[in-house]
Amino acid sequence: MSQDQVDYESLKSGGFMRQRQHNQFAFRLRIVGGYVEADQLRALAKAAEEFGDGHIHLTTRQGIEIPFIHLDDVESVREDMAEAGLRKGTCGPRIRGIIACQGNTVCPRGLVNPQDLARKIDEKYFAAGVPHKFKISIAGCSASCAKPQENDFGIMGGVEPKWLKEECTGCGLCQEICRMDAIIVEDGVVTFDREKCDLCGDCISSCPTDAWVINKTGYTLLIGGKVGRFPQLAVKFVELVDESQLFEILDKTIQFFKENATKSERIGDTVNRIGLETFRKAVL
Amino acid sequence: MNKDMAPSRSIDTCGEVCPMNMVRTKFELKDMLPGEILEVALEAGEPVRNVSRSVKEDGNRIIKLEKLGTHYRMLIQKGE
Ligand code: SF4
Ligand code: SF4
Ligand code: SF4
Repeated sequence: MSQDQVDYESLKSGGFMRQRQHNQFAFRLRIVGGYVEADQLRALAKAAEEFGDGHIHLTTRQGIEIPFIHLDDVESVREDMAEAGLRKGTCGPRIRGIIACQGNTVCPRGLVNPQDLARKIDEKYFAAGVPHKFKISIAGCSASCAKPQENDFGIMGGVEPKWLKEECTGCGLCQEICRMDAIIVEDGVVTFDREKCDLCGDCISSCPTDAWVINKTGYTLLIGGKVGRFPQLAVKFVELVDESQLFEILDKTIQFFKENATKSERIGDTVNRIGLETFRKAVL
Repeated sequence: MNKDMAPSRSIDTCGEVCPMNMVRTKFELKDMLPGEILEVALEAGEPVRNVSRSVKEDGNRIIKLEKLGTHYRMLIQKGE
């Protein structure tokens, strides 16, 4: 096939990205939450040796790419990967691969299961067409290791604590461990400032007498983060939503983006232009 | 302090790097009998956070926390 006949756009949406080297492509995989099984790693290693130049590239968003695939081998690589249960990734103006930390499946601080949620979001929205790239990241708690603030749509697990007076000994530990200065312990009485609390759950997991308990578990959502040439952090727009509310809000957010974005605008810019309050009203 | 509250062991983790303060506390408690009390000196902030969380996860109990200037004195009772 001559270079003129190559449909780069279709190759690109299929996860093949043209390299600067003539007729060479990097094959991007659809990785969800950085989860890759050992057998899949073996298949990747084999493909990199057989069709690439013997190495793989780890992207900044938990992705994997096999560079230096010749145009003639594109189909074979796709088939071999599919056999290992690895699907092709995406690029361009689409919903990109979902980032997630391990949350409560591994991390002692995790409040929710970001891996499970990432798989559900991936199944429903992966590679859906939108006005500009749209990145989603899920962190198991407000420590934000998965950097939801850098993504167009950020998700964080959270728990709202509740203080039980009768269990409290007034030891003062919760005041010391709360990073947000949301707790004051004075003469055995605890004062809780809900406005300052970022729902991290540290008081609950540390109180020696279980005087802090979970009142509600849910997700904190952030909108409009991006890096690139004009970086900005995503801002929090709602707290403690449950999973079905989250999917409803995500649906409406994508709808809002499609209806309001000017050409080639990230959702952060759309929200900056139209206003956060208008966005909130449209999606909540 | 009541006689039952007297610590049978004592460690100073000030100056240790996280998570070594938590690891040392864990090892010390491992060799103790249920009901026995460990006294731990630790720095404010992250060390108090990490140690108190892991003590609770392991089924032990913080029975006292005292602020002494820039550091804390924690009394931990080994669980059943
Ligand atoms: S964001 Fe929270 S749950 Fe996720 S890895 Fe960091 S500390 Fe653990
Ligand atoms: S850590 Fe628990 S027992 Fe101690 S002051 Fe806070 S709520 Fe009360
Ligand atoms: S949940 Fe976290 S931020 Fe909120 S009061 Fe407890 S320790 Fe402080």
